[in-house]
Amino acid sequence: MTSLQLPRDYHASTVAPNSVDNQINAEQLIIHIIDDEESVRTSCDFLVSSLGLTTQVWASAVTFLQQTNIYMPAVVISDLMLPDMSGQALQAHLNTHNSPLALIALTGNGEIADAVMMLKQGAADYLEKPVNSRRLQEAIIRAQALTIQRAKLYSIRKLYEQLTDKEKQVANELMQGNLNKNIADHLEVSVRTVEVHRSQVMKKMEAQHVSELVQKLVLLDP
Amino acid sequence: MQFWWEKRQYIIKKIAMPTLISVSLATFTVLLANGAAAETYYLGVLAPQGEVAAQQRWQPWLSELNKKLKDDTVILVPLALENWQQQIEAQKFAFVLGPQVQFVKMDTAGWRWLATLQAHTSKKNNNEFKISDVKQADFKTDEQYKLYKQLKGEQARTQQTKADNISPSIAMEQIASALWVKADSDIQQLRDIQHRKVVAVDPDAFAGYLLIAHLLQQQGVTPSDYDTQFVGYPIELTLSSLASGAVEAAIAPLCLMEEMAYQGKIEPSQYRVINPVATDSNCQSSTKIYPNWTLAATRQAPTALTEQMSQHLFTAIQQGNDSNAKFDNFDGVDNKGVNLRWLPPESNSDAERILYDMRQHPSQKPLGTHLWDWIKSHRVWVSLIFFIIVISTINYAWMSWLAWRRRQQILKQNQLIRNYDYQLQQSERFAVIGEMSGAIAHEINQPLATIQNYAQGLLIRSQNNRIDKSSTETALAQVITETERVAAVISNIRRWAGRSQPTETVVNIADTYQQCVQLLSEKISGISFWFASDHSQLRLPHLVLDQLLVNCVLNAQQQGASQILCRCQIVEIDGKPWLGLFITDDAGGFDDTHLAERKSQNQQPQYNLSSTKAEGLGLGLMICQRLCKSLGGFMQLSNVDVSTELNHVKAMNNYQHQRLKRLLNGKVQWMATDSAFPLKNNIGAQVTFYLPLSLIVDAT
Repeated sequence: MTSLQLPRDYHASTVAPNSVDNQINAEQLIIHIIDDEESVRTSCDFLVSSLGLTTQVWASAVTFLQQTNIYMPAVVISDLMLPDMSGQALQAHLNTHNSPLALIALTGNGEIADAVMMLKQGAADYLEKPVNSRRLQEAIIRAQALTIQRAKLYSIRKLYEQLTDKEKQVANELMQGNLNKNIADHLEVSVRTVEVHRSQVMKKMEAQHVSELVQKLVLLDP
Repeated sequence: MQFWWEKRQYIIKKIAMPTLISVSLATFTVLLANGAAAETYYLGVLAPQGEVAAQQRWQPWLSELNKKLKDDTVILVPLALENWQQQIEAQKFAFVLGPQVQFVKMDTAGWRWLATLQAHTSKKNNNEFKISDVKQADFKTDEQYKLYKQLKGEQARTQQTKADNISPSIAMEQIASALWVKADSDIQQLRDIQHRKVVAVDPDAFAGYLLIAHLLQQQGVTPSDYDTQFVGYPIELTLSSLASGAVEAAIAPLCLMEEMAYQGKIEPSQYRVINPVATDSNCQSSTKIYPNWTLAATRQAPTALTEQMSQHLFTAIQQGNDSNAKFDNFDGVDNKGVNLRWLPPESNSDAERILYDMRQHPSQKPLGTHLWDWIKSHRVWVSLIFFIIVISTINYAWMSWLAWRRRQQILKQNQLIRNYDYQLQQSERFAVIGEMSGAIAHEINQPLATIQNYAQGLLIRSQNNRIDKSSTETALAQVITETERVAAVISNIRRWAGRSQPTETVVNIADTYQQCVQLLSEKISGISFWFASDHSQLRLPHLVLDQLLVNCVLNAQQQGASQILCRCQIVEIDGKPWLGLFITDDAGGFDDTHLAERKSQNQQPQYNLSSTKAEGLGLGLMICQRLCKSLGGFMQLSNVDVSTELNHVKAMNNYQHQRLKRLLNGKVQWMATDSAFPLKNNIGAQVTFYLPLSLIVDAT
């Protein structure tokens, strides 16, 4: 699969929201529709809009990537046979950039090999044209759930990356259920130092209590 | 004896050994010298009438001769005629005595001709009373004639008794021949012998056949002009055959008649000789007498002995001239009025001339004999050449077999390549159809997806009571646009599929059928093809008839047909005449469900691409139907009784029954056959193309 060389300011925004946990609502998620064929694009827009969802249509994947923040959770319904960047290339690009976007592949001539590859690459679903509305709605719902989950994971990973090495060690000890004294023994520091690191971990991970911290850390290391 | 032996042993023991050896050597030398001085030689004599007769005939003369020889002894060896030549050529004899003509056929190189025995006739008184000349008219009463017959019988018995006591050695001693016929025969001269049955001794017999045959040939009567029967030996069989009436003339050696008459075996007055000539002999002859018995010295005869024998022979002549008594003591023929004497050897050119004229001369032997003689004399080289030829032949056969095997391998490889090529073509066809189908599907799928999206969107909005006029009109307008788009795609496909055909040409139906069959040669060997047509030529777009025929023949072959029938004639359908092209096979027919489906579809073409064959695309009959329709006709499928169809074909003029046969060189040839092959199934599939009569160019 050819990888497209995108310009440095390729993405509209590479900054992920610091906290999406309490902000993401499925109904608010935008459904991006990418198809080079205008009639299909508009008809698909018409259908998805009929389901009460917010849509945004794109004539090409490149345009979509240039004008969309790929770290914002959203659902992408994309044709595979696109002129400048195929659906497979788009999925690969999203994977490379750890984008939480959930992509539903929509194709006119479905091949099993293509479907398998897309699903292995992380696509939310694979549908053939003409698609049944109910089938499409189910796929969109699953994709919405997937993109929200990916967005959460993405934000936790961003928080975790802010921790220092010592703080990551303390976080791991906390995930294993150890007390401060045990942690101090393991890390060969004083209990006071452990308490300082623990306070920093809780703050940086935006956790109110240890159980919430452990929940986030488990998501990072399933 | 025993006492002498013991005494001798005692002397040997007592006397000194050197003395004994000296005495023994001296004795042996003396004995050896005596042995070398007195040699024994053999004289081979032809004995045509048996060894006893020959012994009686020649031994007195030879004994007389031996007395005159100084040291050597000549022993008489009678030789039968059958192995005479073989024994002479075995080089056992120093001297040979026989008829001169017999030597012509031998290898006599190095021989010396000593003397020839010539007949010298002393005219005998023939005025004595011959009882056989008396006829019944000469007697006054029947009693006198009966008395005469009684006397004649007694005379015959007397003559028989005499013949038993006297050696009858006349017939083979003088070389001449007589042509005998019955006294009352209408054969008066030599020319009368034409178309008559003649008996003779043997084709090689000089006096028994060749002399008279040569005489007749000089008179313009060739051997093919008369029917000759050869009775072989003994020579008396010739006159016996004449006496029995089996033949009309007999060729007999000189004096045979007189000898048999003398023995009472035949009545000479009932026969007469044709072309009698005057000779020194008392016997009647048709030819002159040829050089008689000749004495020859072979290469084994010592010169001294030869000189002695010549000297004594001609000395005897001198004495014989004074008195013939010397010769009368061995031949015993004086009582027949013939004296024989040794004279210097005569030339045998006359005998050779006769043999030459009769194509019996050794130099005229057949080419095969010459060749055989040459092979015998060059047997080493001939064996070598034969060996080389045999080796070459074996080598050639071996190389031919290798070439044949190689050719078979090439043919097999070629067949493999063809199969691969065919599979490749099939794959390409599948790929093309796949690509084409994919492109068509994509072109149609996009509008369909659009239409479905709008329709479903409208439905959902309607269900949610969120429908508004503007969006609805937009959606419906899009639906109409997409529908038109689909219609345009379909129209384009049809336009592409219905492209105009190339220029029309006149095609020969039989030739095209044959080409199609040969095109599939490797696949259809073993299938019988029947063809009958009332018309010879059609005017059609190029290759259309080929496509129709190849599709149908290939379908039949793939279904396992053993016989394929093609019939072309005008038929009437619903009152309208059509040119019907019937292609029938005996593979069992179409599946009934398929035929039922087609009938339910009112004979409309099936555009589903399903096939009942593993390798089939399902396009063959569809293409045939389209081509037939493009010609203004239609196609019909049915199951028919193959026997009935075969009778239809056979009822037409100039029907052909042909098969493809593989020749020894590996090529496949289209050959007519008269053999009857059984039908594989009674029911078979029939594809009929009904074409407009306007396609017919001429009628046969």
